[in-house]
Amino acid sequence: MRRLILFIVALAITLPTLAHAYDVLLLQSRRDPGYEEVLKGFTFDQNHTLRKLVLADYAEVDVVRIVREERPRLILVVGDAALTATRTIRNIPIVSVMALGIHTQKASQPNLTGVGMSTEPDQYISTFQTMKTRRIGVIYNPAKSAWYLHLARKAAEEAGIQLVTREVSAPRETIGQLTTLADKVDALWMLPDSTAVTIESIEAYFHFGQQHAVPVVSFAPNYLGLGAAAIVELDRVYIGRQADAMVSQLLKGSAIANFPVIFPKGSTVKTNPSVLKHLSTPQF
Amino acid sequence: MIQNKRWSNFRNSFQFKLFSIFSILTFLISCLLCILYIVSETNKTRHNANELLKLRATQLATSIRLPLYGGDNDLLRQLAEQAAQTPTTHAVIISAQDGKVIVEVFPKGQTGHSADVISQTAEVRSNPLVDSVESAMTGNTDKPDTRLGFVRIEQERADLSHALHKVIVLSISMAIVFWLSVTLLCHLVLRRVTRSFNVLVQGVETMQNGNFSARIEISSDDEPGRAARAINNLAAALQQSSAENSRLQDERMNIERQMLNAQKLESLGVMAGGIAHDYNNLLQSILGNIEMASLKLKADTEPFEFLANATKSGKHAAQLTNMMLTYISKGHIIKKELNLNELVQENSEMLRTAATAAVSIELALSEELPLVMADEAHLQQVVMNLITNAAESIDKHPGLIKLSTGIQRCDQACLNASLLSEKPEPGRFAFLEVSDNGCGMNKDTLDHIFDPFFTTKFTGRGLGMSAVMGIIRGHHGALFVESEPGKGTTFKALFPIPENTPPAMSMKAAPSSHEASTLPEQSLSGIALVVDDEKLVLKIGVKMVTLCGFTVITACDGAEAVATFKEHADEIAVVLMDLTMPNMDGLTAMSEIYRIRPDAKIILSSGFNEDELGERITGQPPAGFIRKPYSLNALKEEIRRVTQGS
Repeated sequence: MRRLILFIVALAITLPTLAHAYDVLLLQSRRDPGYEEVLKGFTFDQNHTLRKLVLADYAEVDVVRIVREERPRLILVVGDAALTATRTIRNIPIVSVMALGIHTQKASQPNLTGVGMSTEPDQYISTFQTMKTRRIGVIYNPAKSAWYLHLARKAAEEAGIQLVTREVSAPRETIGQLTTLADKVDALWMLPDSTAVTIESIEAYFHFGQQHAVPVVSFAPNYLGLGAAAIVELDRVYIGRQADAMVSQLLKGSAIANFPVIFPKGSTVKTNPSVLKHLSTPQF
Repeated sequence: MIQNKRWSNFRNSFQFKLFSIFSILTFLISCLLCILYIVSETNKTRHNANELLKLRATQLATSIRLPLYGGDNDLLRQLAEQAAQTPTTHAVIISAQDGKVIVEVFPKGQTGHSADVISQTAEVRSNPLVDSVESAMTGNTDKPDTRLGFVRIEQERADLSHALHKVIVLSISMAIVFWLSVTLLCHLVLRRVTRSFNVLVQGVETMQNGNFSARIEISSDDEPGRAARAINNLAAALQQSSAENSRLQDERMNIERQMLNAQKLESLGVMAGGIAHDYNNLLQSILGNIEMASLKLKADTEPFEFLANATKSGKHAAQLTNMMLTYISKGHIIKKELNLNELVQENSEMLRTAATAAVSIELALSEELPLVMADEAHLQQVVMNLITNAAESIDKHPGLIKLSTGIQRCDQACLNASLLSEKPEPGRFAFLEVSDNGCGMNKDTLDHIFDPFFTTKFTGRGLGMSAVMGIIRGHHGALFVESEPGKGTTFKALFPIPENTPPAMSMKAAPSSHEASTLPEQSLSGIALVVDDEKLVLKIGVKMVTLCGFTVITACDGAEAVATFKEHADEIAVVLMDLTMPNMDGLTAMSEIYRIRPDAKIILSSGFNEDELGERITGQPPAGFIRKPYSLNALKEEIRRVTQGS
């Protein structure tokens, strides 16, 4: 009897140890080439164990329960869906990449850090300077992009550029606000704001740029073909490396508070020469 | 009637049947194709109209994407009105995602919805080529597709109906043109194809009518062409067969004609022989008695002259009977070598003195002409008849008679033109040609000139040319005649002569025999048996034989003659016996007498000629023959020849 009791106690002590079988829980929204490209920037030290979980592979995943039971030392989230799934987790450091909502969620989740999706405003401002444009129209949702507009205004002022901003709280407002920018701007700055820029309203940007002969500077190479004059493209592998460095430091024991959300580095500017030629904008 | 028959023939023709089948078949195919085309075009037109309407709706949906998303109803109405300006558009309706109508535009004159419209609805969706922010940032290829609302465009069917009407009219027109074209082409092709059949049928019909010389034109080497060739070969065979049949028919008719002619000749011969026999017996009695009476008179007395005239007429009658016998080739023919040129010359001199002054006689006698074997009297009869006919054809008008003689070589083809049914063997011939430039003869006359008793002259007896024909037949010669009315006539008589016979050297006329009635020499004597069933003939015969110096015993028939001869067999020096007698004829009696005494001297006398007698004698021939009517001198010479061998 005594032996049985000892066995049960030992089992109760060792089972949690067996469940804590890895260091990093890689929580990926879906299987996506862009995400895979980011992951290429991770080295994942051989001393640390990893479990990869793709949420799109399952109909429903209770991430909180998994984390509670498996107790990873760190959660690496890739994409907005994965980030949203970890909204309620507070006791484990979370590193996020390729998520637009990182800045919004960071405000209410102190154990969250990572690499943002918006390039530093300076790079855009220098692009507008190259285009010799002075009045830049920007439409944004303050709930999502107010922090970025703050930085952008500061950079614009330093560069002598005026930002003509319009605020929207719903996607349908974008088209109406765009019409108010007519003859008031020399260029449009399309922010990665999911309210100001939707599938339905994207055309309106390029339609406005074509109609009023103003260049539109966007954030994704896909929009070059739709009429963007220039884009600032993220280097996803570099983002991976930035996040990898954070993960390493956190796993070594650094406090999460020491790691704010950072801007992605290594971005490059790409232009559409045909659009620039039509708009008589100086080539890069 | 002819039109109906032609139409009936055409309606039953192979061409018409094929044409009808092709026309009906083409018509059905045209109708089927037309219907299929109309159905296809109708569906296509409807489909195109729907597709076009759908395209317009889609286009409008694309163009209203932003104002619909942005809720710009004014712009939406403006775009809807713009779309509604398209003709035949009935309505343009734009509705939100939940189906609530945002804009509804009807063109002018339209008041509301109608059932007679077609409509197409297009969804207003976000641009599928555009990426969302997240997709663009992450490179995700999954693009959400958001429906923003609907666009429905209604269009009137009138335009569609008009288009369908045009399609139907066009289809039917094309089908009719196609059908007519194919039918015309079919007609032309069939006419060409069946032409060979028609030629074939026409050719067969022509041959069916008996024209086997007709040939079907062979224009191709197909089945009709081969059939035409086979029918042509058949026609050639039939033509050959027909020609053969025709030739056999001609030969048969020729044989029948010859048989008929022979039968006619035989009948005439029997009749003429009987008449001649009886006439000659009568003439024998008449002339014999006249001759006996003349012997009692002085020559310069008037009764003597009367008797001399009677004798002349009697001899003329005897000549007539001889002509009848000559026509049937039973005349008395005594062939001897004759100089034809001499004969012609003598007769021409006689004619020249007798004919009118208007007739000129020209002689063209060949010096190379050899002697011919012929009966002088008969040949003289031929020459005289031909010359007399020529002179009579000239009549009183000035004219020319040309007498020609010569040698001619004839083959079978040449001899086939002879008027005589019996053709001589080809070889060398002496010819006598008598031509005149008189009135000539038409074909009808030519066909009958050799018929006995046919004459164109009032005084003629119709036996001259019959006798000529009989004489030439009797001499195994040939006779040709050419005549043309108004231009004259040419007769040409051919007499066979042996090869390499020399020309007759002398053209001198032989002295003619003179039958002077002088008293017979009394050098003959003995007992003579005179046999005849005719009492008058027997009586004059007895008188003549007595005058010849014999003691005469008589018998009235053959049986009595045999009996009498048997009784005086060793005493009788000569027997003068008639050929035709009752009880026992002359030939049987002669045989019996020869049986009694083989060296008996028997002279047969008859109205028939010696040739016929020769045909009937099978045993020992008689020692002599004398033809009735005979004169005292002729009898005396024959008796002398028989009894004394002179």
